[in-house]
Amino acid sequence: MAQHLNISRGTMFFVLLTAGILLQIADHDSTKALGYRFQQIAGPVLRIGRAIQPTTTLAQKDDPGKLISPSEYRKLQTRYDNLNAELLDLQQRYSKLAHIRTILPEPGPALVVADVIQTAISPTQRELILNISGQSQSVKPGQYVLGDDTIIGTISDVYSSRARVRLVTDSRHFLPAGILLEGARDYIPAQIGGAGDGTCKIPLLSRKDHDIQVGSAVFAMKRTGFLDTPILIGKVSSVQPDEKQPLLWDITVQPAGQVETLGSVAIVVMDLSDGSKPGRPEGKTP
Amino acid sequence: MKWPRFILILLALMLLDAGQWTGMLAVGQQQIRPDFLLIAMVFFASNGSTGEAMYASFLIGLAADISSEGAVIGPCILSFGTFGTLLSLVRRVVVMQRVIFQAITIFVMALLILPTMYLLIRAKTGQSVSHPMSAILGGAVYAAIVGPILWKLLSMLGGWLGLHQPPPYSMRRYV
Repeated sequence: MAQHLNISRGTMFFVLLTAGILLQIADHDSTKALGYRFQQIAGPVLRIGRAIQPTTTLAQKDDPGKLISPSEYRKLQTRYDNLNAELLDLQQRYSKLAHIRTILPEPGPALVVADVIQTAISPTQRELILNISGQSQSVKPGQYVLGDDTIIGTISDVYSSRARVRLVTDSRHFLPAGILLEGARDYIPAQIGGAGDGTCKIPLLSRKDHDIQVGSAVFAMKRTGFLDTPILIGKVSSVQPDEKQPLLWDITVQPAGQVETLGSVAIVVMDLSDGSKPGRPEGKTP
Repeated sequence: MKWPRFILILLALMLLDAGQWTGMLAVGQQQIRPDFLLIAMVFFASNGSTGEAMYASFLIGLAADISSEGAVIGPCILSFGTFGTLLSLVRRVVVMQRVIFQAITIFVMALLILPTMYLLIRAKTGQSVSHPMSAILGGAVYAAIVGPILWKLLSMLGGWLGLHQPPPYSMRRYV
């Protein structure tokens, strides 16, 4: 190739190397369009085999007397946890209303249902690509995403017809969270971050002040403009003293949502001030 | 090398590498998968002329960047291009006809390329691997196991691709 142009191999190597360095130092937001375009064009081919990916399930005890399947049990448990959180929230709201009668209950959030077109799970990232054709006006970065009736992540990028969801297990992802111990009425406030290996971590909780138990539910907490009621993220799967800081807990959370096989998800849209009216889910449960 | 045919193979490998079906091959909680483009890069760097190996390495690097989930353009071009070119210069040291040496070469190249790639990704986007040692070692071992199979398939296409594979290493040349 270069021989026809009478360029030596050494020169050609440095030309290619320089091109590589320029692309490396170029702004990521401008160069990532190339990869996004590839995923858009090759999307149908890349999606082959999505439905037959293996799913990782939580370890469950064998119980010969059980009447429902483990997946059904998990769904019911998730709904129970969310209902419990909603009940607590309603109780708190009721007690406030009892004192301040002028406060009216706020309308619930709207949901934008979007199809999952690609799952991007690798050692460096855990993301979903959604098809939001016709609904992109309502979708904004930071909005919470529901799947399997749990919070599975937040919107990180919005394009004209696609949106990128950063999953709660992604190592770059952090959210305000709350741990609800069994029988307790108050949440233990915390920050939850992705561990990058399919689980989440909750750092900086003191062993002296909090008696965290395995199996405790972890919720995404209310955030003004994003979420108006706590929704389940997952369950505490292990609690150990932190090796580096022995006065703190090292808490691992197993997300309740199974993102690998999700066909569609729901985006929580709280702010409808731009006049757009996202559709509510009708008969299509993410 | 017949470059249009090489591009066809490269597109097929991009789809293979980025496709969701590879989820079936993923192992561990980090979802480690074999890097088909890295294996192809080692194959072309070992079987083309030095110039062809250099162009092929940079092109495969660009393809790896485009088809990567984060679409971070740059890290793979630099790491694949540099190490692919270096491999093409030193390839006569090992006999690539034997499966064991193919696997070892892929393993060593993966050990060089993956950390470089992750460092460059971190430099560009700030995102890092949660467990780098397991991601690098796991990825290298997996690529070394799957590598000889893809190598065999690409060798069968060697004539169609117009590859002039280098003759086997002979000590007599250097005596």
